[in-house]
Amino acid sequence: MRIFSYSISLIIFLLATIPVIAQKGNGVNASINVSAKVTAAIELITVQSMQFGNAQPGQREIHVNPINSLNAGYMIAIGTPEAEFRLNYLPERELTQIEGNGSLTFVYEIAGNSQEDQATSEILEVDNRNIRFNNEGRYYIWVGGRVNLENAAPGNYEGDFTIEIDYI
Amino acid sequence: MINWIHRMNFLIKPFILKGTVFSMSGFLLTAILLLIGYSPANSQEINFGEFSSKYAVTISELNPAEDLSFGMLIQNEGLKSIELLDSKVLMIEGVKYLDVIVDVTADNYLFLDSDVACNGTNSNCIPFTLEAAYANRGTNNTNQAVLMQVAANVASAQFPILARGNLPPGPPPTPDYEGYNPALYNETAYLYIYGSLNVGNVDAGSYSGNITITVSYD
Repeated sequence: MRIFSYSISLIIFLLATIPVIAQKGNGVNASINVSAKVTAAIELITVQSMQFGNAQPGQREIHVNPINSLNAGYMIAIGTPEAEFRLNYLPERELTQIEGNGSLTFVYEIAGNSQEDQATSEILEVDNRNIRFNNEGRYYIWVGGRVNLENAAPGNYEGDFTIEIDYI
Repeated sequence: MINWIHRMNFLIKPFILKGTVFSMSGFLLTAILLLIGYSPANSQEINFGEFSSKYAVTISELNPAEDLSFGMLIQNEGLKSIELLDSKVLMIEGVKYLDVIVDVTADNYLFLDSDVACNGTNSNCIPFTLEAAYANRGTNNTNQAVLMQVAANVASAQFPILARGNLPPGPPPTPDYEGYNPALYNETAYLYIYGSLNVGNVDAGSYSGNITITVSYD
């Protein structure tokens, strides 16, 4: 009789605990993706600075043609192969006299090419948005421009050139 | 969490009234076992969500098939965050007066081309830090968002589908009767998932990871 009683107790205990567990599980799941695309940092390597040479007396202008002048500056941009980028530059920069207070305004002209060939390069506008690194992740840039010497004081001048490249 | 202390009798009573007591020792053992079976922690609470399979809860994306995307990043860019305002939004629809338990579990890393062989120092994975929040005032409004606690890239929270504000807990759920339409009592809470990446000297390419969201009634 006592064993039967214990059995009944055990059965009651089991009945008392099962329903709570059985009614769990009305949850739902979802899954989302988190993503990012990493590109190589862009490097700009200056291979050759632009050379003006010596202006002759009476010379009114210096013009360095970026497409065919050997005096053009030469830079290589390195980034992710085939990636699109945009290129901006300031077309006018002031050159200051190293020894003196004179200044000149230099108007830059930029040419670019996905091949290392200056002669087939194309003039780049101030804001270019459809440029792409080649399959080796390179883009070649030649820098030229023109400066008016009519009112320039004799001396040496220097200035910098700012070019900005961003992935699109 | 809904406290409903006096309803505890509802659960215990049938077993006491219907149990057949064959001896005093059997009765005592029954009582002891029942006391063990219902610990004091459970006795203070009725989880209404467990009493009807009709209380469904669903989760969906506000903008389906759209990743939590960090877009294009540069090698060695450092910390890059997606803020709450730009977060991935999910909608939790359920019975407005029931509490839900929400767990958001994220991978610790984003992996390059799904290559999960990452030990934290490899150049093919980016550490990801999860952040999450919810808004349960009936509108998709990040200004009303409540930040969720995050530990080891697991965010957890328990909240009613519709915030009660300073009001006391509402009445028990409408009984499940023929013709009962649970949708009439539904509301939507909003879940915001965002976070940050720390981009070091990793290889270029496409990185991805997974975030799993689990929602259930309390």
